[in-house]
Amino acid sequence: MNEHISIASMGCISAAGKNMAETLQTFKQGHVNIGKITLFETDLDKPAFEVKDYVLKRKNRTLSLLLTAVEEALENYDGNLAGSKYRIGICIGTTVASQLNNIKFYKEFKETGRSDISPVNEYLKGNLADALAREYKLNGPKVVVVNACSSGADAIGTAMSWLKNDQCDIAIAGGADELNKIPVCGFNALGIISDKPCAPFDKDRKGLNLGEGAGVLILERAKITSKINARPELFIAAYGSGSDAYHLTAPHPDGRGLKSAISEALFQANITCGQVGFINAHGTATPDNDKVEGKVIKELFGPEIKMYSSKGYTGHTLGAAGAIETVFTALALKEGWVPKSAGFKNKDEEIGISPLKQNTKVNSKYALSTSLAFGGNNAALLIKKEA
Amino acid sequence: MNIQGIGILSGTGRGIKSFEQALERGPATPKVSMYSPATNKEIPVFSIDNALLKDPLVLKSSRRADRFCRMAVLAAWDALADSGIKIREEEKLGVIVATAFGPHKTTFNFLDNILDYGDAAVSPTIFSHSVHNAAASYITSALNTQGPVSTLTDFCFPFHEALRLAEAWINQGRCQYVLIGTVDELSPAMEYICDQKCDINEEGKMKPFEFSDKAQTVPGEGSVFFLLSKNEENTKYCRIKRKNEAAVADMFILESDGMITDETVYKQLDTGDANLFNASPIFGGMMSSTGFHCASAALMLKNDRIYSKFAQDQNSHARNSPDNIVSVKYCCNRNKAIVRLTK
Repeated sequence: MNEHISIASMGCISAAGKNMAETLQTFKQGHVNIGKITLFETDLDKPAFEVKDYVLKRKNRTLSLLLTAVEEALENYDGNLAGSKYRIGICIGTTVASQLNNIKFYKEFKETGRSDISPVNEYLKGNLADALAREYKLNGPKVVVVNACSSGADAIGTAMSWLKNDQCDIAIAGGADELNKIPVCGFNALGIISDKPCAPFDKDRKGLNLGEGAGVLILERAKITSKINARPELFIAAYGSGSDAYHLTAPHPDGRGLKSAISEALFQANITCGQVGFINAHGTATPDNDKVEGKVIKELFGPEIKMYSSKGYTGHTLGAAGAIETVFTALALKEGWVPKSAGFKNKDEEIGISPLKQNTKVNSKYALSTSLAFGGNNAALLIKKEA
Repeated sequence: MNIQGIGILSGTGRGIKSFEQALERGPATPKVSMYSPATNKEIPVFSIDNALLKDPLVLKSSRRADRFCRMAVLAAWDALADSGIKIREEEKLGVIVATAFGPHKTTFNFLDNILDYGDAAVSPTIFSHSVHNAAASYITSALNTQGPVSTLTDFCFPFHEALRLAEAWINQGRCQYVLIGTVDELSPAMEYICDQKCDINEEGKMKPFEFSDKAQTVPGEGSVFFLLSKNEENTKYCRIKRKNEAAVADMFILESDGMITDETVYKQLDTGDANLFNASPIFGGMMSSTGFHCASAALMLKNDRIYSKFAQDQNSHARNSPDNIVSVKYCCNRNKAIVRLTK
């Protein structure tokens, strides 16, 4: 049960870059690639983080983003999935791709009582785990996790549970979501979309920006990694999750589910808060999220912990966020530096902790990535680097 | 894992007793039908009476919940109540909700908002209920449980994937008990989709043992939850395990309910001389029907009897009651998934 789970390879795409190298450049230069929404027509004049100049690999944009991240992960992978003798699982988090939300189909149905069924057929073919299994001819366990904004992190946690429970040997795990009209309208109705680039943890933060992207990790049981003759540097040391049992959209004021998730991850890894070098926080830049999350981080790790939110570079990518940020966290551990928290200027005394204002060197063995979600879902992934 | 409690909500009513009585009565045809303007005909559906979704005591923290969430909360609550187990805080209760389509009716209501009022005038409440994990959120609030919780979606095998994760969580010691269940609902748009994608039996009759290449169905909806514990404990119903391959069994439940058009694949399964069973004629066809089949199996194992009106061999009451039952489901790509339930 305590078998190590290695990160054999990774890939990501977001407004910060179409691969990991581009993303690191964006972080280094502090670019914030935000702009007007161009992917669909909307009455709402809200900025968003779109992946620009992107040639779709499939008609389904979310699947396309996912495939881009998977392809990068496979390019960097020492093993070979095609024809592999190992059991390979697929666990992907999303929000948009799980919803039957085709406006054209529904409008026609609403007006006439009938509609062209082809969007439904596309939807039925669009289950992300199924689509990857078909693409790469994989026959291991496969499922899509739909825990709103923690979906990507929980998908990695679910894959980790499979690996530790001998249900597969290798897993493709991550999350993907496209920028879509439904969440743009929905989050706007909730009054939590900012008119300007988001400012996570800033005292004047006005809300989130939506984004899109995908993050993917190829995870292996350590015994498989040794057979492939690779020497992994990075591991998922632990995963914890907890429920607020409080409210559908608001986090518990004391962050009890988040505390429970972090505590579980630390307990599973048998380490203390003091051994965590830095935290990639969920940090959406909404007043509620950042207040609760910041307070929990300060309470558990102290005000000096190095922490940042990468949403100032990507926007909130919903079901992809937890996975993209796990990739960023692992990259930062590997590279030995973390980016500044884009958008942050002024400390919020009510939170009592500030994210990083400069790109900062780190030299630690452990880092944490946290995710909070609608529904009171909370997840914590602890990443470990071995020298 | 052991099944310690079952909560169920379907066209048969609410509660495991109601489901048991429906199994006693035998196959039914639905009382509800829906008019399809596309085909100018009435489509029978096994739908849940909305009166069943009112329970002020259980739903007091779910007053704003939509129909999908109410179905899930009531079944989850009933599963825990049926077990009679008081779970201590340190034991941790996990919650796993599996669904094929999620709260699509609420998503369509949200689209109604966009179409009727424009992008800037939609309801935030409807939006927040359109996420798949809203049901799990209401369950955790109703039960005030802070253990691990997850919502999974899959068109073919949602219940099997929930079982897989529950097994992992219990083996890892993440929780001592897991409430797992499936929920899927009907709506005018979904009934239209079913009418377009499936061959619906206009008389409302499910014919599970025809194994036809033009299988018919009657669409259903519902929610079923199981309280699972680890093997070492005594069980109220039976043991349950997801399997990769079908083994020898006293009884096979073949989940042929017309949701895939070509069901001839079920004929290829080697079931020996085991009894074949399928209770879908009381709850209808659903992508996430496995939980309902497992509930019928659990009752047979607990009660030491066969509900012979749902067996292929109608004289099966003369047979010995089963000690182990294997439930097999095929998907349209001919992949299969198996659950084994044993005394």
